[in-house]
Amino acid sequence: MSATHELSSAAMGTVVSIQVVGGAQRAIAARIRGALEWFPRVEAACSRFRDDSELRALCRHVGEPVRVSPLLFEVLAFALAVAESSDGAFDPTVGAHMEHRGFTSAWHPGARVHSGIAPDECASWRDVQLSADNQTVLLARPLLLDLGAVAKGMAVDLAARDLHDLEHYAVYAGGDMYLSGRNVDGETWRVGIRHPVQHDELVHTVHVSDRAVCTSGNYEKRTTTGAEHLVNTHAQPHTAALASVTVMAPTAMVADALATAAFVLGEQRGLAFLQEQDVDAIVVTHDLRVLVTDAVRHSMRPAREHVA
Amino acid sequence: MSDPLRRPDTPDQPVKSPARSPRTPAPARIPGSLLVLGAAAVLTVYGAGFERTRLAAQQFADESAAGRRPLPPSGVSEAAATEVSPAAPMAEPAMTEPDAAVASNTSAGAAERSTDVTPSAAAVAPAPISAPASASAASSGAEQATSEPAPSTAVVTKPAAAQSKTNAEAPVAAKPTSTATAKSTASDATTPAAAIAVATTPVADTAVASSTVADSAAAAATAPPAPVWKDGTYTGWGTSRHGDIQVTLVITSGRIESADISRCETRYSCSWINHLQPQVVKRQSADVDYVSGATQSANAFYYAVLEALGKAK
Repeated sequence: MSATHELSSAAMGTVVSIQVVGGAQRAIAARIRGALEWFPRVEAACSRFRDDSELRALCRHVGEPVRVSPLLFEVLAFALAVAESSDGAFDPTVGAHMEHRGFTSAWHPGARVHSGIAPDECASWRDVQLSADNQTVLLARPLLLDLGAVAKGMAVDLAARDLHDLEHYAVYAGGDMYLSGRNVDGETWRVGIRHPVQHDELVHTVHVSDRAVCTSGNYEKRTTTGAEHLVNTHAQPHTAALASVTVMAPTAMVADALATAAFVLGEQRGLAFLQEQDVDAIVVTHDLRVLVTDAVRHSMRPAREHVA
Repeated sequence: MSDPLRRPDTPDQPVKSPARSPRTPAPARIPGSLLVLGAAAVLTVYGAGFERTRLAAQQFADESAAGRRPLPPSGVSEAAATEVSPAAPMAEPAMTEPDAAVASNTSAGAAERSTDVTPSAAAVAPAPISAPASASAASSGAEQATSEPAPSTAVVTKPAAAQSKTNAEAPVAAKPTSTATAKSTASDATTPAAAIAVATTPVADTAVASSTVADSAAAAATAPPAPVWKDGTYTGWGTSRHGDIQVTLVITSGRIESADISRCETRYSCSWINHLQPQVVKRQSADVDYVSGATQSANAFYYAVLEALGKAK
């Protein structure tokens, strides 16, 4: 293994890149292109920022069941499951609130869109009813869905699944990633966890293989007004707030959703939630303490990173 | 975070076993249940592949079908499509892959691929090019090359597509190809193929036909937004604390066809952002392979796109 092939693309408002270690160059390039293709597809289904997305089309129908694609249905179903598990800390119906606060563009470059849906204080994930039998979604009241966290994770997972037989590869999308096998040096992949304040620094380096790594924190996206893009509409703000949450899980969708939920839940409840969901995590608290789960602790290389 | 952040003094503490919620756990609170749920969802969607996810792509098909109406209605010419195939760079290597054993990969031969290539490429470029001659597309070759048909070809490697082989619906799924990766420099060879594929455009009919499969979801996707930007290729620069990024934006039919990084001068370029062309890259010294939580350069990318869009107005 002496070579890697890497292709980047723009999707979901960020840079997506896939690296494959080893293999014949031309064949691999084709495979990478194929895997990258999942990103625009997920975006077409799940973007809040595109007028023409399936999600936005769904949001134009209130009080009636709408048949949706398996892609949108599954992402939505998972988002609702996370919402339930986190007591609504993670809530895919915060879209209108986000928009109200100035997050009118993120995925589709430059396309500033407004859904025309006013933020409804009462709207919550409970207003979204799914019928698995009919593959339909019913919105009980006007609301704007936001599947940002889970949808990007799903896209990473689909791309990774696409490359499954290649063994050693990395799918990277704006800080969310899935790392399979080993890197070009034949070692486990080394992932630096960015410091939430000192952006040039890493709080940790973890060594992972066959794992997704996703970080949630308010330093990722900022509007011109400086509003935070992770919104908890149901809880008091800044209760034992966290600076960032990094979750390692078998899939990026899970990692991203759980990181987002834990971030919103705050230190106490967030940690309990992560423990409950049995995932490895690196949490940076508001006062910049770094907390890691045992498994993460063990995965860290001794000397340098691990300060006992 | 509006909380004042202090400097780190305790770099590492193990997570204490947190107190469980006093509430009775709901069924969904089985430890790790979301892990299973998430994995199942991914497999479901992946397994559905193109065939069942096409609803999402449906509206795009409708849209582009509308955009292609100015075209003279040409019958689906498989011959023409097949001719395109050899020029399409992806068809060949894709076939040489050891994919056969992998259930998730297609066993599609050149013929199937080629028939898919043409429609996809046509779908990608809904520009009302009225002259079907391949030569006419030469002027816009650079733009088309950026949206080369390769990704679309790859889309049909989904299991569902493999089952339906030459299924006329396949092209529809290939729709959202708008962010194809390859740089124009790398795709010189593909330019003619892409151009030809666009010009032949035999698929408008199939795209429309398959839209009859549309359910309410597709029907809901009404009122496609009006094009805002002028067609062309534009560049813009974005700056982050890690360096600068130049983005090349291609606008076709008033919509963003592709947005690719054409120059990357960030410090992290080698490790995670830069490799835009299919190439063998030598590993460069870096402490980590990737950084989680890093979107600085992505932000630079975003602003570069904004700048480029400003020029397109």
